[in-house]
Amino acid sequence: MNRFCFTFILVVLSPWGFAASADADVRIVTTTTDLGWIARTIGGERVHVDTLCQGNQDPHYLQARPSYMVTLSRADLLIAVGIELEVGWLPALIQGARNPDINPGHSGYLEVATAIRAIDVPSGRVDRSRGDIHPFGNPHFWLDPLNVKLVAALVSQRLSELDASGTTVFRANLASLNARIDRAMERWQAAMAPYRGTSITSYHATFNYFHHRFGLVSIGYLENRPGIPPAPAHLADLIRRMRERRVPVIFHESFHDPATSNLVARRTGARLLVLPVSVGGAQSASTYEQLIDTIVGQFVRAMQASAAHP
Amino acid sequence: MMKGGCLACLMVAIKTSRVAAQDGGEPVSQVDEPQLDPPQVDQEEAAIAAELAAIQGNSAIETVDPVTSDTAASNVNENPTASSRGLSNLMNPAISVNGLLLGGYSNRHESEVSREREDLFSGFHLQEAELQLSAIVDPYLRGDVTLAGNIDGVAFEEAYVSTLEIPRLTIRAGLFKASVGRHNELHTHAFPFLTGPLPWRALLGPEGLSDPGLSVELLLPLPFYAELKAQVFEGEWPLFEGSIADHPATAPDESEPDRRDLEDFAYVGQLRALFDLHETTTIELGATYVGGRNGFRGQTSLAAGHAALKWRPIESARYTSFEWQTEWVWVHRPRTPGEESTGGGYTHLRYQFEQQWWVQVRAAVLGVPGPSDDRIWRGEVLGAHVLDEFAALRLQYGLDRDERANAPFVHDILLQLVFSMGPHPAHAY
Repeated sequence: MNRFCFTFILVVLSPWGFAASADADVRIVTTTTDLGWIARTIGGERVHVDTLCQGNQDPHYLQARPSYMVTLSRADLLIAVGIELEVGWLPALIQGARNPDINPGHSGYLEVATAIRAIDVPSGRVDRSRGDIHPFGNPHFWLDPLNVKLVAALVSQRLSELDASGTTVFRANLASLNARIDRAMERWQAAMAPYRGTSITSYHATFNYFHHRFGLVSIGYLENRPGIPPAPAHLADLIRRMRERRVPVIFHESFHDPATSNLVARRTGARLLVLPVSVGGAQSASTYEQLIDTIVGQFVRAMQASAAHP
Repeated sequence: MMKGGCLACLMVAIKTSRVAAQDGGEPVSQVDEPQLDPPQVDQEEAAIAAELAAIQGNSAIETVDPVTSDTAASNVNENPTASSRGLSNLMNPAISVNGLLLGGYSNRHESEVSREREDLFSGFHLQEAELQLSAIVDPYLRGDVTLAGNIDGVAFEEAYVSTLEIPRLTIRAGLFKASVGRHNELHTHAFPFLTGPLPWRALLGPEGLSDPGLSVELLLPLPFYAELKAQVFEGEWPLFEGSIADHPATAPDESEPDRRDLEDFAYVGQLRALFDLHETTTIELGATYVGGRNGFRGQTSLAAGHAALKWRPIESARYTSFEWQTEWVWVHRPRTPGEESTGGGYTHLRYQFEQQWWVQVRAAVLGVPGPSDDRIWRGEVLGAHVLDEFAALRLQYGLDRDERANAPFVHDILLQLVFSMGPHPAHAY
């Protein structure tokens, strides 16, 4: 029995041992491309980054494909959004990866939502009569550029813990990321300033942090109960309110079926903005600045067009 | 004791192999700040491990200082934030409940041979209610307990712990479903159709293969997902049923005492691999072997093979998807009177054409290999309206053809309501 045990251990663990010593980079896996962009920007040459969800994929409904477990089994650090955005698939992937380093509670697991203040935290009695809601608040916080700075600081800190010899590099990269965001922020603020207080609607609550940052006022969602297709009665009510408030635009995530949003746009005269929500979500959005540029650009163009032809 | 020793030796081996692996690694190319080289750290880690082992070994012999332990206890009592009665629910397991309600019509009662399928008959039923409790037990273990039952009674369906901290390996111990193909591991609420595949009941038994046992599940170090499972179970399964005393050809041997040998357990081995053909498409292939000695002192063997193909687009993942799956089982029971060898299988297609709508079709056969006039066929068509992640309505029509008795066709039409309460489930692939 003991001999069997010993042979088994040898057979099982020897290939794993070789795999572990393959390279010296910090191998990072992020759930979303936005976190991937932050990790690459902070880590630079010292990290290797894989992302699970693609930029044009809905991060709520990723399939827990076993190939992701293989990727995670080799990771030194898993960076996740948190507050239950990935609850439908990430726990199964972590369990299947069999990599203790990235288990929640270990230094190789980082949930970046801890760095930000979540909005839309449901109050009162929380149950599923309101659909598949997020009980800890809205997890789409990366569309507020200032949140990206907070998340980047957290990522830099964790990378320094895992790779102490890179601390100076990570700090320098964090400073340059902050400078990049600050510079771009001036441009975005200037472009959005004329439209402060504009009433808008969106399909899902994905853009709320963006709306908060730039002073847009959401009067409701097409998908009023997350995860459930909107009912005609709700849409009729929303259309009535949109007409009253003369809502000029509808924010729509590129991975949602545009049929319902098109219908509402047609009936209200509002312009439909089909937008990427993550880095890589559109061809024009391969960096974070380009992502926000794309959203700001489409919004401003739609506002100018609706001012010209109301 | 033997098992415990083996486990401990495994843990130690993992630690040391890890240290050894990193020792053999490349030297660090760049050091920006003064710090210990990884090999030095590893040596230190090994030294600390040895020292700790010595300290902990000694402390077990030392007696606890009564003064210190008293102080500790009084501190706990004086802490105003502690739940003084121990009734905090902060660490409760996640609790979820699944219910399956069934209503339908069947002309099964008209057929003599198919009557044993008591899960398909006219009327209303509580098909199953299932209570699941899951929690992280401590830093090393996760626990999962499932109670399932219907109006006739409730039983533990699964109750097991699995390891969290062993690289590449999960060890499970407790009562759980054997990893035989794909279907056997599913809970009733996760069945792709309203009922299990027709041959499974006949080949694996009405409850499927599950028993108290131990499972070792290894993620192979390959570029694609490949998992090897080795399991041993108590094995009180219909596959192994029988008694020497009942056997017409064997005289009962009263002199032999009633004891269990190693051969009397059930052994399961499974290898499965998944390949991404494309970012939208994955194929799974798997093979399973189940073996053990049956009650007639013969070696029962079960071999199973499965294949599955799943497609889900990147952008409109919520609105459309497709799945094809097939599974085959062969059973060989030497010395068992009557059915020595039998087998069967099924294949199904599932297509999601809108966010809430699915159509599915399945064909199954029992008695392959075997003479063609000794088979039972079943076909099923299903339409599902999935309200959201937590409730669905499913309508299924099934048709049986039993070639053994030249029996009439058996029809059944069933409507099922599935609901799920509790935390958001993490879906298995």
